[in-house]
Amino acid sequence: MSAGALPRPTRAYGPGLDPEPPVLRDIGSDEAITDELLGKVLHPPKWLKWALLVTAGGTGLLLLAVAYTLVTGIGVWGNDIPIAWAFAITNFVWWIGIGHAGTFISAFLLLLEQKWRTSINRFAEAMTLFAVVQAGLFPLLHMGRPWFFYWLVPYPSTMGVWPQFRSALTWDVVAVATYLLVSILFWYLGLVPDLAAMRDRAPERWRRRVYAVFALGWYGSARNWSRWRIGYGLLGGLAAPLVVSVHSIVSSDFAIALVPGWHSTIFPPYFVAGAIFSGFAMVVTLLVPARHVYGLQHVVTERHLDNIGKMLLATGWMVLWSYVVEIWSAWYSGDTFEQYVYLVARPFGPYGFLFWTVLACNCLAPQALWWRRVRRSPLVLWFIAGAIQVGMWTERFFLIVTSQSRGFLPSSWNLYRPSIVDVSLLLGTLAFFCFLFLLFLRFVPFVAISELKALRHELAEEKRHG
Amino acid sequence: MRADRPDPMQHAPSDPIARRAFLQRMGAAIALYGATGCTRAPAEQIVPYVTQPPDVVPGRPRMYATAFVLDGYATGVLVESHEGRPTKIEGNPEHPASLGATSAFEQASVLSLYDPDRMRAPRLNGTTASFAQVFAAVRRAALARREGEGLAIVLAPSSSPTLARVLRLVRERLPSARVFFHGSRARAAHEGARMVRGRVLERRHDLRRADVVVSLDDDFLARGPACARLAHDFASRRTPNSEGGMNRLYVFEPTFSATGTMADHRVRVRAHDIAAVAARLVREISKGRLAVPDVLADAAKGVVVDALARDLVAHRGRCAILVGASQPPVVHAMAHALDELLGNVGSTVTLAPSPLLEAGEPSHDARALAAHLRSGAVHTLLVLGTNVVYASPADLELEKLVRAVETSFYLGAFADETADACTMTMPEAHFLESWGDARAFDGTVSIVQPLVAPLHGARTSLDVLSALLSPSPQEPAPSSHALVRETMRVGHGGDAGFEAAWRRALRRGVTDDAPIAPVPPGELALDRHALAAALGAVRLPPPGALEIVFPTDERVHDGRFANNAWLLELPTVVTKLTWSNAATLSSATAARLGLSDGDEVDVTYEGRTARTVAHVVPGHADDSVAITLGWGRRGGETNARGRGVNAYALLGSGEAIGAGVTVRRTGAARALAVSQPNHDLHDREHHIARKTTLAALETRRTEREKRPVALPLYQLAPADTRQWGMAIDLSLCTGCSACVVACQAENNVPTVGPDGVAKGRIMHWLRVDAYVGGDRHAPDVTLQPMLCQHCEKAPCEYVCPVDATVHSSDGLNQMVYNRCVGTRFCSNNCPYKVRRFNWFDYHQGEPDVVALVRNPDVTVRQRGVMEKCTFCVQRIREHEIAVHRGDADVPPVRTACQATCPTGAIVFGDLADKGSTVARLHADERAYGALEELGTKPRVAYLARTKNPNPEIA
Repeated sequence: MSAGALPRPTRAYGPGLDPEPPVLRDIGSDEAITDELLGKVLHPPKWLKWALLVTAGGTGLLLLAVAYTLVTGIGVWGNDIPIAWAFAITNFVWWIGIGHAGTFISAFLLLLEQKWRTSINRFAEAMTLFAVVQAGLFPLLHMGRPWFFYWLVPYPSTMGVWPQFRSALTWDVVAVATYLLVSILFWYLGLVPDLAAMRDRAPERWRRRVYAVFALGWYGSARNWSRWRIGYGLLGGLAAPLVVSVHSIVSSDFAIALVPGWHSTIFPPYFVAGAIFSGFAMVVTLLVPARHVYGLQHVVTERHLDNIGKMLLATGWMVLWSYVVEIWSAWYSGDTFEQYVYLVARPFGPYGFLFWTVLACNCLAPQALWWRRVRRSPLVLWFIAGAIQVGMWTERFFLIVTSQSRGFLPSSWNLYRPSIVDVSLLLGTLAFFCFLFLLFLRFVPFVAISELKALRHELAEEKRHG
Repeated sequence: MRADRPDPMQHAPSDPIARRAFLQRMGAAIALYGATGCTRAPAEQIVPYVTQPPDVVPGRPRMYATAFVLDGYATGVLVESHEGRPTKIEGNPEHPASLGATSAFEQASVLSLYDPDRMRAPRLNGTTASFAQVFAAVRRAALARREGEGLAIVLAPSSSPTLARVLRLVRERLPSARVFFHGSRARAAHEGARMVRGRVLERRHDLRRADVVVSLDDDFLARGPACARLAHDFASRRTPNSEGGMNRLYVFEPTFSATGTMADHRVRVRAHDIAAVAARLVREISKGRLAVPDVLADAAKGVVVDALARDLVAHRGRCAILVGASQPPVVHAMAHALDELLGNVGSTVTLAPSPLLEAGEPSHDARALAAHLRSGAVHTLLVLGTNVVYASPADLELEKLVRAVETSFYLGAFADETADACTMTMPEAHFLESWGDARAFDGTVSIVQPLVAPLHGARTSLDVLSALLSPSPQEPAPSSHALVRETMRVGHGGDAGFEAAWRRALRRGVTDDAPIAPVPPGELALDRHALAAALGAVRLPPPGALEIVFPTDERVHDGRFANNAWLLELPTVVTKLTWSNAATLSSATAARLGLSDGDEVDVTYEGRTARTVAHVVPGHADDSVAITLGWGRRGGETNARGRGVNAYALLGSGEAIGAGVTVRRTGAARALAVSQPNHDLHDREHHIARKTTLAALETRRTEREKRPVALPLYQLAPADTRQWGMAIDLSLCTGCSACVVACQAENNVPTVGPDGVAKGRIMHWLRVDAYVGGDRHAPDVTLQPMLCQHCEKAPCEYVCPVDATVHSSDGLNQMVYNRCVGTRFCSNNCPYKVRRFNWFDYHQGEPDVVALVRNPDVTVRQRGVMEKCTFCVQRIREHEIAVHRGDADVPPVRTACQATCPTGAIVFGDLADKGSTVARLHADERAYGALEELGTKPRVAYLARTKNPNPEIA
């Protein structure tokens, strides 16, 4: 370190006083890291086969429910008039939201040069990708005539008709498609050096062949690395605004509508905060068991858990603040319809129990994260994340359904009860998501090995100069 | 070319078989190719006219006049026919009972024509037989004994002059045969008239002259033989601007009827206590001139009755008292007395002989029929067009009696309960397949002419009676067509000019004959002693004792429409119950009995028990349980079978009102299919359904109240075409729901069944919302027909991602079914929730015959698309084409709902034409737009529901 630079604050307190656990712990040489982390992919644990089987069964349930819906019609769901949107849209918004943490970790934290992102970014990106796949399923299924889905896409149609660009659903198509595309590219580009490592280390010939195709001829030259870094940084720059844009646009599916309870300008930031909130919760939900099963405690340390816990706490407060502002502005607006939805129907109406569930899960449970010991305890953190998952799903459901069920005309007020197909679709996508995730664990290096090694060098360098 | 060698080029086109076979195979092949793709093209043969009938222009419907008969009384209708296929019924403006409007029954009757459950073939002793065989068997059995001994004929109540003539001939030929009429609803009125007038007379009301109208348990605005006419006349005095001033309506009733929703003062009383109300009115108005037992008159309490008595006296000669058919004769007799006391006879009420055959005779009594059957004197029973076994009180045990008859014949539309009990059955023709005639409530004669040949070779009652009259089985009996013509020829007085008169009658829907003349007031007398004696005999159940009422059902009547899906899915006036009846009661009574809505209950009356569901109706009278007739069917009709509870199984001795009933919870609960679960307006009256009073309006006029004006955010482009709009006067909407069925018939709106309704998927494009407000126990109901408001700034349009709902230059909010992908965003964003989604392929798998009822001018919607009211765009375009073509006398566009509305509450027209009625109504002081503050600029204006309460009571 040059003489003129200020010392890092943590360092100023001297060795042993650093309250933060390290980002990496005793990971050995580069080769050892590579061997260890690739070994986890090349020699999968025994239970993985069974877990794949179970989740494949759940995916089968999903396919059944999808086929039944497509053959018979949306009528097999519980939707009605006025509740024309219910489970499917809830699931869509929830899954899209989950995807956000991945992009946030990989792109935002990359641009902010947060070192702790390296151990978990691959993981989070995969999660994003699979969550967006689940999410993308619902708007398609949800259509009355899904075989005409492409009418929402602006293409030079022989009918000479374009999509109607004032509708938020048209924006949705663009936003989600962009997001999916960038997520895939970003994830894949990050994966290329590790795929090359897999190509070099895989025991069977066919696997080497397959990995070779996906490694795109990577041979680890300085030129490779230089180009890769530029490309990765550019994509990161591209992906970062998507974190904000996608859920802002998803929120306008509601915000541009007249429906009391939807018609609100706070929705875009509120939805983005909620998305990152639920996304980080999903990271914890997946990371904690994987870390334990794969023995990754030295790569994913308490530092990561602690940081994620802080993120949860921060976004949780943003969400809570949004709730307060939403309710306050409904009251302040003087609009009887808005007031009824926010002040009567939601807390005390037929879906009132959901409101209190949301408050308990999304606002009360995360307050435990003020305590460092809670943040660093994987089990407690995992349970809190679970509560947040439930809370965020419930919040979306509640927000979508209560508003429709208590609209302008009391004559049209009605309730929604999910059908067995609705529930099957939700459970089915959960299974499908897990199935894809297990496949990812089975075939792809789930920790960004090359980036980890770079980080190791960086930290070592820092230590040496420190 | 050699002559012996056929020329293949000439042969092939002249051989239709080869060409058709080729086309069929090609069609099948193409269909199979299509099966691999996404769309299905049905392989059907299209056979064009070989010789086009001279009058038929394909694609242009024709209207024919005929008459719909219910309980013996006719309503004139015009039937729209597309290439020989009747699809839609309109009222006949020339007919006195219609004046262009109809009730829901007429609207729905066309669906019954195409009912797939209709009896298809005659049956003889359990096996299918030919018509000739069954006719021969009927003749053999009926004529087996001399002079018709042992023969009994049961007919539906009828006013048909031809039937009267044929019955005379039958009686001449078979003097010992007995004739009965089953199911008359006018018996109590006839008996009441006989009691005090000495003869059977019917009271006809002229509500155009009535300042004060009183309904004693009479739903006269929505039900009864003259309901469309009465509603029309009532409405002519029902708005603040009515000529002659706004009338005032008092309603006393146990159940909440459509008429009750219109009342300025509605009093909930037990059906039994109506007699007390009438007696108190008689006592107060007669001032002692008529003897009324005080115990009876004092049983009616409350300020309304006494104020009403004063109001009636103040409007002497300008008031009308209408009594419900289910009320006992003594109440009808008191109405006659009130007519005399108030000097209404000759002004608002006239008395005339009934158009019904043998009105008031014992032959109308089901008990007489049962006694005759029980005597064992009957060996041949002919039941013609009335379901005696089902629609009779249980204690008459008619099923057993009919089964005991050696030979029984049933002419009926369905394989129902009576068909099951009879040895021979024959399909009965629908009225759109029949020749006949009938009289309206005032005696005006209409010819019933067929629109289509009987679909299943069905016959009419006249055909059967005619078969009895023919001298030998070989000789063909005169057809009903010939019989009707003969009757008219006799009435016309010979052949001179008869053809022209006949054609005129067919074209107009009414004959030239004068209606039945009323009895001159001078010839009428009131038998005070008989009335006093009858009043002395009235015994009311003690206050607080539970009574039971069996009204006819507003949807299925007495069960005859129980298989008609349009009517089954028609919501009731207040609670919007569909597909079932229930034991209705008030919330106070339910609480006293420990019941809540949806509890399964056992209702026990006179030792008979029926299991049904308790249904709490706001504004129902306390201590009164009502179960409507016509449900709980167990015949062969798939829609009807097993729905609701059969009230006939409880009904004792044939009286519609009984006391001494117990209601007990079984502990189970059942969900009822209700199309509107919430009736509370939540203080949104001003935004949605406005109410006012005549007095408040007058105050406002003098005060010149400033109305808030919304600043226009967008300037609308000046219109260079017509601008369609609608105005609905909430003061005039009775909730009779004829418009709902008319819309369903016109626009091919599917039904969804009870599960669909319970899930909130009813498809009606037009519904009548009911809001219950005011006192929880004696509430005020506001009805609001709700349909697409065709907003100029439509919230549905900007949220559709594929431009499937767009605005037309003439102001219609259009729905493009072909373009719709079914995201349902439009429905979410519709503040009025009038958009309907095809959750399933509702038309898939329906029998071919049902498809015949569809209006060919309106698309049948596929699964997955949104639909909604179009303002009957097909009618608008048809009108525009006619105008463009330069046709003479193009009638103005009338939407289906507007055309059938008896009160004229719905007005449609061009808003750009400042002189049009609709434009005038849009500018009315009472006009407002529902939720107009949202900036949607609805094209439908509502006129605030205006009441005219008695200042003395308020």
